Amino acid sequence: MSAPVKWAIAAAIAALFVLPSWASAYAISFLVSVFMYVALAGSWNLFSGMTGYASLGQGIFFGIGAYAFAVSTVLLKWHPVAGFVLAAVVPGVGAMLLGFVLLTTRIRVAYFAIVMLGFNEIAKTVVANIKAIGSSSGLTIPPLPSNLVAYYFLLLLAVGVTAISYAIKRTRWGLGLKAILADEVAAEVTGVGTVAHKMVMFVLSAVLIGLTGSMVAWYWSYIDPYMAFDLLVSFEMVVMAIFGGVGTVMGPVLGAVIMSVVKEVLSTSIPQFHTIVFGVLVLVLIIWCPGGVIQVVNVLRRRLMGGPGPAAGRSVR
Amino acid sequence: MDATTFLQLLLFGVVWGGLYALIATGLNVIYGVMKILNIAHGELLMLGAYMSFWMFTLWNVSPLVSVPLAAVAMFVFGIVIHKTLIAPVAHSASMEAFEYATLIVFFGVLLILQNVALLLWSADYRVISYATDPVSLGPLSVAANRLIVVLVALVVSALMFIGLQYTMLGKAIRAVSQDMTTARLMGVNVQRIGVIGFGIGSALAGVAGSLASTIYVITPTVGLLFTIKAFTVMVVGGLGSQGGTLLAGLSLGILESFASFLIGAEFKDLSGYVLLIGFIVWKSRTSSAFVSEVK
Repeated sequence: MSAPVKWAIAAAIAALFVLPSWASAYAISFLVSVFMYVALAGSWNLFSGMTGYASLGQGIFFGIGAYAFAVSTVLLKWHPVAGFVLAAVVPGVGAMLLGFVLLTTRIRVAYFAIVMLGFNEIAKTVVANIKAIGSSSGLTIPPLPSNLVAYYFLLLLAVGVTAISYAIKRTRWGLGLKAILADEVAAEVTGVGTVAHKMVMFVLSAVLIGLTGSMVAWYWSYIDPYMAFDLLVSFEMVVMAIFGGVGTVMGPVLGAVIMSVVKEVLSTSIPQFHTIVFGVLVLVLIIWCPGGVIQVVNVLRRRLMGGPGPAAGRSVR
Repeated sequence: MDATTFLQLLLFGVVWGGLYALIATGLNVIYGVMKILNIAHGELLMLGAYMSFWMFTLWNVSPLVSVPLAAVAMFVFGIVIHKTLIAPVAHSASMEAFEYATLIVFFGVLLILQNVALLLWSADYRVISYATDPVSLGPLSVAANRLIVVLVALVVSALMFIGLQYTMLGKAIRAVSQDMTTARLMGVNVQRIGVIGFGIGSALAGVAGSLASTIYVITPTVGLLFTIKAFTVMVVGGLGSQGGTLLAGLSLGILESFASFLIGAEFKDLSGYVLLIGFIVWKSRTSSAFVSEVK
């Protein structure tokens, strides 16, 4: 990453930290959803983007995090900080258990994707049938003291997820992940601990998604199984990450920001047709640049600056 | 549980199972010729179901007549989707990039079709009361529409089996499914088979939707549930295996029928997911077909 890009990113983050002093309540609530999507797409990318094991049910950890927080703070009267800790631990342990079953083999990606989707649906049905945690009518959480709590929490998560992804890419560990993505058997015979790499990234991804879910649940101040385990949450993070550029650091950020801006603009300007137009835009954009937005950005940067930016075809993987 | 209840549940399961097998046969053809997950498969079923619903409600057209019409309509629609949306991303840099791009394409298709249906036909639950009179089969009694569904599903499945086994087109589809490169070397036009295979898969979804509309409530969001069922049947039955698909479809239908009777209706869908996950986990440890290839 070149120096001007670094400074621009630092300035943008600093601006987002001081922004709430001027911004309207509407802008805050819009940015809360942008940060949520950046954190989700980035966390999905940490495991699925970097290892190639595309999960179509990663939203299960969003739901588990949301419920861990709601159950501990509302029903057990825990302090919210303890609730957040639980919302990190439970999805993490859950991911570890799922990982022992799924990631200790080289399961085909298509099957892994479907199994994760199935687990999300099982979790939804199970939660909807447990009376002690509100079954299908859900739980009401006392409202946030201020929406700024959600703003800063999710901003930190979004920045943190992206920073983790950037840091991992620059280490030996990141090289191991790259090897798994390219050829898992070759990685293993070269001495990469493939199971350990996959497990750690899966758990990390689950913890970060769980934390996002817990904060969003508090922000919504209400949670039910169909919101918490909505398949759309699982799908949106995948689509945003792919749309931006799978496996890259900035791809999921770009994808999440662009898509949430487009969604917001459409839903306020043409509320009746916004999902349809959004779908059409998704199709047009993916056909226009199948490798994701980051590919276009890299090509443009190379043309403008004449620098040695990564080759267009290779930047995707 | 007495013998009559047992047989009744079995029959009920067979009806749904036949339908599941039909949907999965279509998905299997699509997966075979293109090696992609079509998460919008159920949306084509939903369109077929609405088609049959409106033709019955507005013009009193029998669902038996709308079955072939839905097949033709969805065949054409499938080909249009392939030509306009799949073909442009087919030249992706790698198979992974193609898989990712098509996943997004189908997600977009799913969003559009669901919401167009919602806008045009609202979220109201739609039902057809067609041939609801009970028919007695020995000690059992079953609504005539259910018998029609399972019979049509089995006939169409049989036609698909014959077509895939004995016609040149069917042989080409099977060849492409087994090994694209070798099929190409044998002179099969892989692109063309991809388009036709996608059309046939979509047509089968239309047929299944048309049938489903007579025994199930139709809503704009009904598709995904059927997509997941079809995935379950396709995976358990074995990719490219028609006999396996039929057997797995019937097993899933029967499993669900007994699970909803014995455990509770809310666990009907859950039993299918447990079957899917259990099967994949077991197979990923015992069968090389469930593990990624050595490159």
